[in-house]
Amino acid sequence: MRLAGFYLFALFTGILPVLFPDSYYVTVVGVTICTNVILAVSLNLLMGYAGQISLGHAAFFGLGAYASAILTTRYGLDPWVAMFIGAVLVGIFSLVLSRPILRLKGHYLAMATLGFGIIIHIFFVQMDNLTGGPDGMSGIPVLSLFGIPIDSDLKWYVVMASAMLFSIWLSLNVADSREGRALAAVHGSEAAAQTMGIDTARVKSHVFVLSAVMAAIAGSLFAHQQSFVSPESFSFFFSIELVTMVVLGGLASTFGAVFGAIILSILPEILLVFEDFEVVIYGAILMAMMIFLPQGLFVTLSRRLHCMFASRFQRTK
Amino acid sequence: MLDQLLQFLISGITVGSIYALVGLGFAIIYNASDVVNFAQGEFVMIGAMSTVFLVGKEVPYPLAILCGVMITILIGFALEKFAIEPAKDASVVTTIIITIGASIFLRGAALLIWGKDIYGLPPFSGDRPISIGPATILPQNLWVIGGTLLSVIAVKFFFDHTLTGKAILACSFNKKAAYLVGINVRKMLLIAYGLSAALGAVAGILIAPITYTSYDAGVMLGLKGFCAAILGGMGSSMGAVAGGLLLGVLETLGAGFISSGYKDAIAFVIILLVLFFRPSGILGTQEADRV
Amino acid sequence: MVCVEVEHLDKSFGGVAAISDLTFKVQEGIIFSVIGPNGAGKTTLFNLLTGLYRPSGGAIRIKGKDIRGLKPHEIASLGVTRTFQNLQVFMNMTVLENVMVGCHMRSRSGLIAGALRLPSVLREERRVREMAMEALEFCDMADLAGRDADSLAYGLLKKLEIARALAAAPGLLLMDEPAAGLNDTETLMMGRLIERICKRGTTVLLVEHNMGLVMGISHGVLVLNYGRLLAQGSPEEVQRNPEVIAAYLGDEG
Repeated sequence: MRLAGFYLFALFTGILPVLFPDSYYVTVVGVTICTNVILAVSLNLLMGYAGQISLGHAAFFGLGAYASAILTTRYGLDPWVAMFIGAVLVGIFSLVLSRPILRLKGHYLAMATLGFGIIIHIFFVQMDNLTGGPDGMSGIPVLSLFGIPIDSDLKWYVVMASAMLFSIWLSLNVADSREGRALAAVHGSEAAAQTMGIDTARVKSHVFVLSAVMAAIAGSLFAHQQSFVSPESFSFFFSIELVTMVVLGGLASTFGAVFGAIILSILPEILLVFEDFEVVIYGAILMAMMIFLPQGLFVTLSRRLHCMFASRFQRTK
Repeated sequence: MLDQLLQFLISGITVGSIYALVGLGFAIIYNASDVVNFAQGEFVMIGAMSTVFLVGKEVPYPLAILCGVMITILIGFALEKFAIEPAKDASVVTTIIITIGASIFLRGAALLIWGKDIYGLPPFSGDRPISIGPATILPQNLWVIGGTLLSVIAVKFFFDHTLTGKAILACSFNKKAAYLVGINVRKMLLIAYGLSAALGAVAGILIAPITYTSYDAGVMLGLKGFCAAILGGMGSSMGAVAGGLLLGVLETLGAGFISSGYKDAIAFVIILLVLFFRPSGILGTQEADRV
Repeated sequence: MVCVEVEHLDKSFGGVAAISDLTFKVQEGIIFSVIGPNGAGKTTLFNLLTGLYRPSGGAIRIKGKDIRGLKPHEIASLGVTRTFQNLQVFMNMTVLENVMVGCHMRSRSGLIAGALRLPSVLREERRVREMAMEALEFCDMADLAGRDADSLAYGLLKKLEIARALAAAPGLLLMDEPAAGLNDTETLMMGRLIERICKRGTTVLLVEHNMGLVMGISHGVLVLNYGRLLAQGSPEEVQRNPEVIAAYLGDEG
C-alpha cells in the first residue's frame, strides 16, 4: 500500500516500450526523462525533504560524468569501476563541502550553491588537458551489463528506467525512515528538531552527500549513454532547470519531482514548434506556474483530486 | 609590475563600478520586497540593447540613452506589477524561480527582437587614451566611474533626504506599519523596482562601449551583482557598492596575475570564502548570537 | 538527587540583562515551577537550559554534568526535552510521525539503511511506531495518530508537543506555558497530565502563568523578576512572601 503509486508508475514505465518500441518519444526523450527524474528526485531529497535550496546540483551531475569520461578514456578503467570511483570521490567532496555550505540559510545558501556550480563549470571549461575544454570529450566506451553491451536506444531505456525506478524507491524509503523524519523535522522547526536530539548539521550533511552521489551516478550513466560530454550539459542553467523541476512538481513530494522532471523534459520538445518563440514561452510558463501554483503542479492536482474523491465518498456514505 | 598593477586597478574599478550599480539594484529590491531579483542582469542588457537599437535608428545619442533608461524602467514596473505583486507571500525558492522565469522571458524577447548578434555603442566622448603616469585610461572608463559615482550619490540622497525614499525604507522595515501610517506600499514597491531597473540600465549603457552587448550579456553581470550585494551584506545599499568595487578589483587582479580563464571563478571563490567565514558579508552586521 | 543545578547564571542580549546572577537547584522527580511577570526571563532560562542560547556567565549542571558549550542535541541526549511556548509542532507531518521524531534518540538506523529499507530498519520502524503510540496513548491521543498535524485544534497541538517530548523518554521535561490558551477544563486535564508525567519518574520544569495550576501541582516554585531570583520555596511559602505579593501576585489582586 505504501508503495502503490510506485508500482503503478513502474508498470507504466515498463509497458511504454512494449507498446511503442520505435517511438522517438519513448526511447530517446524517454532516456532524457529518466536522467532528469533521477536528478530531480535526488535534488528533492535535499530541497524538498530537508528544505535546503541548491542552485548548483548540475555540478555533481557533471563531476560524475567527467569522472567516468576521464577514467575510462584516459586511464582505460572499466566503466563500472570508473563509475564507482566517481561516486566515491563526489561523496567525499560533498561531505567536505556540506558542513560549511549548509550552515548558510536562504539567499546566502542560494548564492553559495550557485557559486559552487559556476566554479565547477568553469573548471570543466578551463582544464582542457583533462576535460577537453569547451569542446568536451568524445569516444567514451560503451557500458555493458552481464556481458551484454548497452548499445541501442531501447537497451538504454531499460537501463535508465531501472536506475530511475531504483532512485524513486530510495527516495520514497527515505521519506519513511528515521533520518527522513529527522530531515522533515529540521525543515519544520529546526529548534524543536534539535531539542528532540537531532544533530541537524549531521542529518543535513548526510542527505547532501546522498543527493550528490545519486547525481554523480546519473552523470556517469549519462556520459556512457551519450558517449560524449561537454561543459554545456552541466551549466548554471541546468541547475536552475533541476530546481524548477522539483518546485514545479511540488516540494517534498517524490512524485512531484518525478512529475516536474517529466514535464520540463517534454516541454522543450513541444515548444520546438514555436521555433524562435521557444525561450519566451518557456520563461512565461515558468513564471505563470510559480505565480499561480506555488505549491507545485503535482501537489495541487493531487490535493484537488483527493478532495474530490473524499467529498464523493462522504456523500455516498 | 607597478604600472601593470595600476592598469589592472583602473580596469578593476571600471568593472567594479558596474557590479556596484547592479548590486545596488539588487539591494534596493531586496530591501523593499525581500526578493532576490535574478532578472537584474536583464535590466542591464535591455538598457544597453534598446539604446543600441535607438542609436541605430538615428536617434540622437543623449536622447537614445534617456529612452533606453525609460524603457528599462517600464520593464521594471511591469516585472513588479505582473510577476512579483501577484505572488505575494511566496517562499524564497518560489520568488527565485519567478524572477529566473522573468529573466528567461526577457532574454527570449531580446533574442526575438535583436537576434544573437553582438552590438557595441560608440564611446561617449572619443576614444583617445589619457595617460596617468605609466598607465592609460580611456575616456569611457572615466564616464563609467563618474556615472556610477553620480548614480550612487543620487540614490543615497534619495533614500536619506526625500520623503518617497524614506517611505520605501519604512516599507522595508515593516510593511504593515508602513501601510498603517498611510504609505502606499504598492506604489513604493513599484518605485523601488523602477529605480533598480534604471540603475541596471545606466550600468548597461555605461559599459556597452567597452565590453559590447548582446541578448545574453546580462546573465554574468546579474550574477556578479548578486555577489556584490552578498559581499556587502544583503540589504545594505552602500555595502553593495563597496562589495561591487572590491569584487571588480580583486577579479581583475586575479585574472591579470593568475589566469584570465579563471576570471569568473575568482569572483565566486571569493564569495564562497566570505560566506564560509563571515556568513553575513564583509559589511553586514552579525546575526544575533543564537547558537 | 539533584537534577538541575544553576549557579550564578547570566545572560544578556546586546548589553541588556535577561538573566542575572541566578542560582537554584531542582531535585529529581518533582514538579518545579518558574513563575514571574512577562519579560522576567523565564523562556530565556529554558533556552539556556536546552542549549538554544549560550550563557554569558555562570554554570548549568544537569544530572551533575556541566552543559556549557554543549549543542542542543547533545543536551537532549542527556535526557532533556521540552515543549515550546509558541508551538513548534512539525506541521509538515502526521501526528504519529511527529511523535516518532521524538523517538529519534531511542533508535539508530542511518540514512543509507533507511533508504534501502534493510530488515533491521523494518524491525526498528515497528518498535519506534509502538513507542510513539505508547506516548500518544499516555496523552489520550492514540485515535488521532493518522491525522495531519496541521488539522489539529490548538489544545490538541499542545498535547501533541508533550507526547512528542515524552516519546524521547526524558528524565527532565521542560514545559513552557502548557496551559496558555486552554480553557478551564482543558487546564485541569493538563494539570493531571503533568502530574502523571511526574509520577512516571520524569522531573518536570514548568513555566506557567496560570497560578491555580502552578500552586496546585508544584512541589517547588521559583519566582523570577527582571531576570533575578525574587523568591523560592514551596507553593505556600512563595504565596506568603511579601516581596512576591508586592511584585507579582499583588498586580493581580
